[in-house]
Amino acid sequence: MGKTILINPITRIEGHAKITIELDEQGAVSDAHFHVTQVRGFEKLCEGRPFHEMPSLMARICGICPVSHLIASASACDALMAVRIPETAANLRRVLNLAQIIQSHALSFFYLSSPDLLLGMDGNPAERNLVGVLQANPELARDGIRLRQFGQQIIESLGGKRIHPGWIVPGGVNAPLDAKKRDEILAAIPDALAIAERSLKWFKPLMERYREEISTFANFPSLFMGMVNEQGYFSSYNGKLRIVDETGKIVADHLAPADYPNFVGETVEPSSYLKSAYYKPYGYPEGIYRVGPLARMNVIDGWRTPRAFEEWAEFRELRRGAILSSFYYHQARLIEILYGIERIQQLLSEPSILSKHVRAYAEPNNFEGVGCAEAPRGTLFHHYKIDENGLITWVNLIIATGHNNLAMNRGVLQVASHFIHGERIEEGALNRVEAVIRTFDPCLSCSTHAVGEMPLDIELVRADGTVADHVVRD
Amino acid sequence: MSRVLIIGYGNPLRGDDGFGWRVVEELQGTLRGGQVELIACHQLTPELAEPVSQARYVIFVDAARETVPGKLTLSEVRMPGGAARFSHYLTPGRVVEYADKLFGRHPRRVYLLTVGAGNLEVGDTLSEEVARMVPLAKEQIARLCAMMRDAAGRKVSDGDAWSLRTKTDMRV
Repeated sequence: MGKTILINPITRIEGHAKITIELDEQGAVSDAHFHVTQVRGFEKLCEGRPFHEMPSLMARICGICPVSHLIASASACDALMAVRIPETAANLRRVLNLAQIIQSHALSFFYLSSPDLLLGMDGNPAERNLVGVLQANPELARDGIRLRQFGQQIIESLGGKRIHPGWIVPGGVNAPLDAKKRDEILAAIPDALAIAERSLKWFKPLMERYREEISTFANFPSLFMGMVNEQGYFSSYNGKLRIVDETGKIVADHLAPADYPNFVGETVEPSSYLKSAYYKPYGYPEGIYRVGPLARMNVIDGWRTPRAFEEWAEFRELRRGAILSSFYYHQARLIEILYGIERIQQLLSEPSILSKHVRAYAEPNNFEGVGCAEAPRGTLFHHYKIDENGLITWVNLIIATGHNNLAMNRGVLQVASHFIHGERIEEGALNRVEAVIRTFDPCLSCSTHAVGEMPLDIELVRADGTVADHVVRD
Repeated sequence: MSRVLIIGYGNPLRGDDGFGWRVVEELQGTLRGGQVELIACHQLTPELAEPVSQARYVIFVDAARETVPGKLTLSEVRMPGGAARFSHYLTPGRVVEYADKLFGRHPRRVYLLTVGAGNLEVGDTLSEEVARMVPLAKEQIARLCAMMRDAAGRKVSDGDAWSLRTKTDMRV
């Protein structure tokens, strides 16, 4: 008789999920799945609300990446108002978005993943956590805390608070930046840059230790999607979308985010509250694609800042074509932290960043609006419809983690098939199954919203494991 | 270093769990004499280790489920022994431990002031029995500050350079 291995809960991720691994009679892995066990339902909760409340409401989806939702939501509201926001406001939104990318990536790398990277995938589970990192390498722990703090302090300074900040509103931002705040942020840049450089220097040689993980951690051909500007460089906001394949060839370019229904499809599986997105022209599930730091490294033609560009160019030499192994998400995150710090310095050094003209005003002029931003975990869509009174009638959210769902599932199966073999199940093998999920840095609280009526598959299992009843609602 | 750090923490949208925030909000501008920093936050995180390491005295303020609703309890916080089993949730003692291990310094004294929570349901108001304790908590904190001494042995409240730095993660 076959066996099912259950990893529940998955540790050191944001949100709640489990993994099931099916073994056949010979003890080989026959299937594996990533199940998200929580639902948030914001797509329904917001119906009936005035559209201008949406940024504030949407920020409450998440405590780690609220700024991404603020920006995508405000951008959707800008589209409803049919306004073009002042350039200073767009740059201030970028500063806040980059600050969030920095603090979120710091959380993912230093707090959630560095225990595995520093102490080893087979390290003692009792020590393989942030406390273990603190004891084994206090400087690394200190650097991680200070980097996260750097990003959070910018968010607090500009948005009023670290978690669920305000400031970003439909039409722009609600107050200009003052010189004192700007100078405080600029003063903190050198230390933050030094930490980012140090972290990359520490991490890159480590990759030699993880050759087996690199070759098996969601290492397969897929498409990659990310936002670029007119020059093909990374854009966190207000750009167009590009899709490349595993050879690095551009499959689709200059895609307007508002046209996403033409190229992004969504489907729901009964075993998870997380929707799966796919590239529509290729169909489901062949249209599997990835977003986020690794995808961005693959789709862009470069970075606007010098050190990030150098690191990226070196990164691209890892393989001819696109970099496929999801283990490289870790290094990609560190490069994005470096870019974020450099770019914030550039933006804040422009005199126009202190302009008082930071908001456009209008009533609704469209019944439908789409906003898009590159969040720490990848491309984020907010799509709203309103009635003639400006009240929300319909919401669709496509979150980065949803874009990555098919890839995460395939990654879990790949790792499980390689590291788990029948008779003996080693703890390190199970940790690797979790660790592949961690490379994607999923945000499950962000990404679980209903598509119409939720399909349900419920099993009533007796204590001896036999199924007493089974109910399915499609 | 003659600095006092007061950290009120909890969820201000879960009834009495907002007690720490309310105390910190009401302390702004009221403490006289000494260098006081106020922080209000949702939960204790590793990022607090550095400011804690730089303070001479720290007072944590929180609601507690285990005691009689409305009962104020003051206790001294010590660094816990042994390894932490769970890094997702930090206690005041663990924050102090992080301060010591990461930055090589920890405060001279650390206190935890809690109130027994009566209501932890969704809502942004304190229950009557807990709201009554806010002025008493402020008085308790003021008395604690009056006892604190700087590196030269002088009372913190007798110092010359007064500044009240407020850094809060204030709710909207």
